[in-house]
Amino acid sequence: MIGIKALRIAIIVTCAIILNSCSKDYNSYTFTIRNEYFESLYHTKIGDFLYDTIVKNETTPLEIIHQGSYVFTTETESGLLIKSHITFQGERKNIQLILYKNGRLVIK
Amino acid sequence: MIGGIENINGYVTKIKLLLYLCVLLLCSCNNKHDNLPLRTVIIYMIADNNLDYFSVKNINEMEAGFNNNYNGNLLVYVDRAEGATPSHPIVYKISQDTTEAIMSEVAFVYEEQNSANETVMTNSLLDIIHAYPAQSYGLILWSHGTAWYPEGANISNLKNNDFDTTLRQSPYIKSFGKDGTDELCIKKLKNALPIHFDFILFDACYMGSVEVAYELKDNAHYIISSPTEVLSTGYPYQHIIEDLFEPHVNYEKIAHTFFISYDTLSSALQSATVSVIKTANLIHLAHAVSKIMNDTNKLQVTSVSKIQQYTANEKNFLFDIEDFICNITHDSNQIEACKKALDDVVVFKASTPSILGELKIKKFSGLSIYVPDSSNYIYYDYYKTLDWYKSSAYCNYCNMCNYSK
Repeated sequence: MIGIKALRIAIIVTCAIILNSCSKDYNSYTFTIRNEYFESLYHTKIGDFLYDTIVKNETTPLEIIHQGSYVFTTETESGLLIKSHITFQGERKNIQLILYKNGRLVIK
Repeated sequence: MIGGIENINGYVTKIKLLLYLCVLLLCSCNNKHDNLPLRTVIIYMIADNNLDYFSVKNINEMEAGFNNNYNGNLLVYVDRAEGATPSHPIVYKISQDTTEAIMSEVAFVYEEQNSANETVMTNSLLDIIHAYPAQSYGLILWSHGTAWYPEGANISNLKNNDFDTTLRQSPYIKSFGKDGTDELCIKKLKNALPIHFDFILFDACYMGSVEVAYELKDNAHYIISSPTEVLSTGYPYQHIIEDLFEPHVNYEKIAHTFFISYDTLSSALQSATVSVIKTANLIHLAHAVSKIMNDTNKLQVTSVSKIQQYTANEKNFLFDIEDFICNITHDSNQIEACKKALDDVVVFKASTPSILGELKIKKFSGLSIYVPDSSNYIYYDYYKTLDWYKSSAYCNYCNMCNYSK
């Protein structure tokens, strides 16, 4: 039953790549996730980091993540599954991931 | 003098250079246009009502009928009913899939909004058009519909019934633009359409009316619509999607596919009317009708009981246009001129013998028209605001009726 429900969830795929390929890379980066979507987000996952609920307009605490590519996934209150591929690299060390109300994940 | 010639030569060179740049600019514009996909087809589904179940069914059929190699994009704006997952509007970019689930990527998400509002509709259509530009555009309007009648007109008995799961396999009808209790009247719909489309297909009841077509004549080259009710299962999308992406869309084929999908069924399910309207010729039809209306010596009032109706239970809302014309004058030349103009407008038409087993279709010209009667005269004031009313000199007929509200 859960499998069927999962199948019925539409998927938003976004591609958010942090690009600064010509410049200096760090071994690790700091990041936060900000929810500017119009609903709460559940089971948000990036790498080993898991957030049960991120309410509207909430920003998660600062975390440290290693350089590399990750998959970002989250489920909206209405049941939409949002999936994005993110690469942490380049000379910007502090990254804010913002999920906007149109469902797009952007980097600031 | 020599200096003067040099100056003239200089000007000529500059003008030549300017012309050359203009040609280059024009060429680059053409190339840019040619590089665009052939067509973006947008389906605007207002399913925040008792049609919710059928919206999912139809989107699945679109995925089944779509091929990722088509030269264009198929975008579905859908606003589902409360309790659906999700119930707020989203836009799917349809991709090929034959599973029972909707697997297409979501292109946009909107917070809950009234999809039957003209500003919301315009902005949503523009979002899609800007994100998926193409050489041409098509539009399918999917929802309830009540022809030209304004908000609140209860044309169909079944229209406002609550959704009942037992009716999923029954001849449940769907009639345009109902989000909760809000509706989009034909004049607002006209204003909400931000561009000129190749075609507008109404997957909604009753939209095959001369008043609707005339109001939207500058919004599309062709309109595909039904003068009667459309069963809630709607168009057989898995069989028509390919045709929507042909370089020259065969509208007759699309209408015929729709018609056959119902004409081959039995009992009440054998219910469908459809017509393809060439909007460029509507002005000639209005002119032909206005000649009859302006010839007040021959113009006569007819009883609605004599004319083919398009609403079940003879509710006196919508009537066959040709049958009406034949009943209001005896001038055979004028009637023939009208029939000829109507043939040029309705380039394809088809009808089953009856609708929902109760409405017999004995005469079918492909378009409905309003015929004033004491039972429907409350809508006359609104009718007077329609473009068709003005262009067809319809006031002459209405003045002869002498009904009061």
